[in-house]
Amino acid sequence: MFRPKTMCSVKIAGLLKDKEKIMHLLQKEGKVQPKEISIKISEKENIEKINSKLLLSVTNNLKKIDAITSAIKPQGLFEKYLQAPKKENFLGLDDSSFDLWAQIQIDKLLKKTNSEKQEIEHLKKRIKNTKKKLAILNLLKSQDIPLWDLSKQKRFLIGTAKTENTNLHYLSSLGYVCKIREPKKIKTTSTHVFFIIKKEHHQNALTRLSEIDLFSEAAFNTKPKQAIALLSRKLKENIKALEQRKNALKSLEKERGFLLAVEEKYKNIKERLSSESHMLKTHDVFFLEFWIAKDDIQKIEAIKNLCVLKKTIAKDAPTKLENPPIVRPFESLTRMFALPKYTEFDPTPIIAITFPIFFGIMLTDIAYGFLLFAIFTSIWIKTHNNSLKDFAEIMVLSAISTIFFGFVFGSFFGDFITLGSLMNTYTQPIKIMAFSLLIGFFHINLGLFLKLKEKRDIADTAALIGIELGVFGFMMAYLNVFSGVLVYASFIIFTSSVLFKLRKGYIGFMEMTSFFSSWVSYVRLMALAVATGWLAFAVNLGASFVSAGTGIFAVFVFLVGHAFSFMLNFFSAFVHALRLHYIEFFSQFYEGGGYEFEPLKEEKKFHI
Amino acid sequence: MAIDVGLGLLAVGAGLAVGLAALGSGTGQGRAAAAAVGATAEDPKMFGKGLVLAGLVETQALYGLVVALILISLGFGMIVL
Repeated sequence: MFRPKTMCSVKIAGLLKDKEKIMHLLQKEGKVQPKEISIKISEKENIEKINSKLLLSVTNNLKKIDAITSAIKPQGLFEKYLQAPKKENFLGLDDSSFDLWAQIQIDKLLKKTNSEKQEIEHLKKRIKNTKKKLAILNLLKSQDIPLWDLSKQKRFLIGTAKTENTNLHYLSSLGYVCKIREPKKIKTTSTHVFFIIKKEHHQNALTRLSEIDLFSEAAFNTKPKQAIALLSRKLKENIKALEQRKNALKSLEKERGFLLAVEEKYKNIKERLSSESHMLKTHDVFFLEFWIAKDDIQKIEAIKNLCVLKKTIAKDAPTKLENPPIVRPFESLTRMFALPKYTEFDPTPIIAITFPIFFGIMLTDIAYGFLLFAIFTSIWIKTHNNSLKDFAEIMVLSAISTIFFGFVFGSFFGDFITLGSLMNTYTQPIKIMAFSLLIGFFHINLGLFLKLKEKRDIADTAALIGIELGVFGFMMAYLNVFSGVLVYASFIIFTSSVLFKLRKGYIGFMEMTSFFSSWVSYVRLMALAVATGWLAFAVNLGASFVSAGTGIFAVFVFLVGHAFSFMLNFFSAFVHALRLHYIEFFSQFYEGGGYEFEPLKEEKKFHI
Repeated sequence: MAIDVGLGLLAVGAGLAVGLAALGSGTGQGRAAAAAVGATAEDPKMFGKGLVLAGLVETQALYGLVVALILISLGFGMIVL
């Protein structure tokens, strides 16, 4: 806790025939991160990078799986995160056999998916065209033109089209085009036209008919009304066929568990094969280097029988955070800013305490706290997604803090139920402000203490503490608590200021002001706490106005208003609690910039 | 009903403190959030920093609210320490 784990750099050399076994063992343990080889070998022509045909096949099959899953109806957020399919069993299959077997299954599924997808696209196009034709035919419905008579002559070409208004004059001048609908608005730029063209003229006429849509043969052989009936029947058939195809594609969703399992297994194989790219090999021997936490060395004892191993404590290595289970979810908040460097202080345990406190102060309502607790406890129980589970855990702890501070500030849906409180959000904002500044004072000085502990900018930190003491002395003198301190306070402030000037020039004074503005920034704890209270108060007031009419509307206003108030204040509390850590707290001592330890590991969420 | 002009001006001042601060803060937050969305689209790892940078601008509105609360507390005798 408080520091990333101590890492070792390990070099191994083994016989090529044992490579698969060693890599499987390392991946199964999930404790090592392969790295670039630092061994210098003069005869480079004898050294080869590992290249695998299997890797190529794995990559191709992963792409196919992606194509299938994207064609099948995408899963909704909750469906995706809250349901885990049954695990597939791939035991007894080595990598190559698995690849051969899986490829056949994937190709079958891909063929089926593609054929359904194409058919759906085709049917959609036909439905669209039929609807377009029906729309035009409906315009001819009132005119009982015996189309088949004309077509029998085989001397005429009959059809309808939607054409630009600019063509109308020319088409009229041809004498064999009748407008079906006049443009009613000036802005309308196109008109439906019905045309009968002598075969001998049709070439000339068609060049002017853009976007022409000739009727199908069925329409030519009948009257408009019959053609409409025929096309309507066809449309119904096509819609039915489309539904059937969609259902057929949807039925492929039952393969989701299989696809997820195959994808997971393939990703495991790919990760291991990709890590082999760090290897060097001769005809008989391979070399590999990796990072491993010092505490985990004994977990890879099994490979000692298969290869030569040499370990050294690393001075610079990837960061592997080490925190107790209750603190671990908060690592995501540290990561969101920056991962600590390998040897740097890890602020996660502090965030695990202060984040829920700040969040609780800002949301500060018993009812909202219980609501938050119920929502995120249910998500925490049901979800199988690790990130969501971590977030839910953070929120559950924050909800408990919200309930606690709800009692401190006496708020239940604002002023809906009057409770006794230590500090009232409506009548004692100044008291809450003092409380917020007190919390800020401790938090920011904790940052300064950590800066001293990290032995960074000791003179600057000492000067800042001097300024703080000086200001405190002035306050004591002002309040007549201890008036004799004035001279000492002035002296400390003067000395600290000189220290800043000497170290950083006049710009050094900026650090003093920025430090105090950081402290003042904690006043937002009070601002948001009071804002939550007043917003809830406004909702209650609105509901009480409506209740003069009927109770149902009052309940509606109450529920919708508080849902809105809850959402708004939830986001504000989250962002500002985070900000107080990232800007005010971290700026005192934290640098970050480490890179994550990413071990070679095996995922077994969807298969065994 | 007797109207205290001083209290009225104080209420107007409190309103202006919140309103003007929120106006500036809102304009700035819109720009910051737009830039943060762009940065996150290019690199999803920027989400955390983008969120905080967008929230950073909200500070001025909160300060406006604090000033208004202090004014109202002073004027209407709501200070209970």
